Amino acid sequence: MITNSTKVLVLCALALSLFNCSSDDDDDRGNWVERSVFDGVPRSNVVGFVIDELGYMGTGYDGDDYLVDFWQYNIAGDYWVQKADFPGTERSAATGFALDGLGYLGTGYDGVDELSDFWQYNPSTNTWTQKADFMGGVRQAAIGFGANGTGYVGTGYDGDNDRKDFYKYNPTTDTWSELVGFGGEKRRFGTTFAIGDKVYIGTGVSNGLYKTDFWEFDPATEVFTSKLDLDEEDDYSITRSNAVGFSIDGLGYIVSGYNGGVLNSTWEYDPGKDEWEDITGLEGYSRQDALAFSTGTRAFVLLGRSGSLYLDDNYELFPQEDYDDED
Amino acid sequence: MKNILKFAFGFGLIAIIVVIFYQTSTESSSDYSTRIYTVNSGFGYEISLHNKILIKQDNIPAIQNEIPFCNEDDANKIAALVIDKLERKVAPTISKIELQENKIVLNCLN
Repeated sequence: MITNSTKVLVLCALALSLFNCSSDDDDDRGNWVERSVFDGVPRSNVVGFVIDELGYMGTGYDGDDYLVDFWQYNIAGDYWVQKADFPGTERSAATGFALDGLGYLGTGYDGVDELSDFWQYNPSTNTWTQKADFMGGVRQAAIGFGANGTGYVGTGYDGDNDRKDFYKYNPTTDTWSELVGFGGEKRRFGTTFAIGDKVYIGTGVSNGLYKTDFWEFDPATEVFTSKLDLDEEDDYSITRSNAVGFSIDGLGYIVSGYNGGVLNSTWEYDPGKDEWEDITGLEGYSRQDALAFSTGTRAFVLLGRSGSLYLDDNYELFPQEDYDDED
Repeated sequence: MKNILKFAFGFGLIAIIVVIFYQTSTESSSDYSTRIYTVNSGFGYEISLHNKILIKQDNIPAIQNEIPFCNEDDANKIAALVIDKLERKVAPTISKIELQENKIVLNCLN
């Protein structure tokens, strides 16, 4: 009898260790390598975009002040260049996107009010030009992206309510119009990434509830399609707010964020299978309100905060490499 | 009792000297270095940490348009200010006010 129960115990232990080993193997895929940082320029809720393999980022909050400085990260050279200050009000939680070789930055929160102004950055002349105000009114923590010659901004928080409305920006005519058809719920601090010619939208929070819906947007037809819920599988822990999203080589990633506490986990989305996989978490501090730069083949996660600790580091993800704690 | 006071005083003095020596010796060996270079008929600066470029500034920071520094002196002044901030572990951002305070010439191309 004793021997039987011992056998069962041993078998259980073996099964458990096998299970652990296999999940360890999953966790072992993906490596993060630290990149160039300013030692001591912590800030969060920064906004940025990538144009011609160069990352641009600015505005944000450093724990004391709302900021207007604006920087270029030279991805090939791994160094920084300070560019023209953002000429609008200092702000955090703005929305930014790249569209046809130009950057756009607008909306956000200046410490007192939500904002609706929108600006265009021309990287070839290092100049900012004010454009038409965001049609949806004042807003922070919105989702924005540029695709197929059009800018899109939607969801976010207007100072009173979380929103689910979307608007599109025509850069040729400098006009906004409403985009109908987003079937998702209202939210703030959601995230987005683009794979090929499709855009994916998900995560975020409203009234303390983390959103589980996940959407594919086709800019050619402007149709939103519902994809697998972020809590569909029992071992999925993707739901969160204040995360970053990006893509590398045809796969999407959601990294860091907040869900009851700050997170470092990294979830990889395969659009062909409509499935998610957990890979090596961000090797720096767990954090929220970080920034991601993505060229489509390389991606970096930088800045953000962990509680009241504002972070100043920068990591590049190599999703197909094995985890290495030495770099 | 007097001896104890003398000992405490002496010990305190030595401690202060050690602290001052330690601070000056760490301050004098900066991890950062600057290189001023000519660019677009003006000057730029490069700041390196342990011989790896961290900030490269072909143009004057914070202001619109691409305008290099008009003279070596201006580039040097702002590069020194950036290093000072990096060493104090504050954001190495240069503001327009700091450009004014350092009387940086912004329009020599015209």
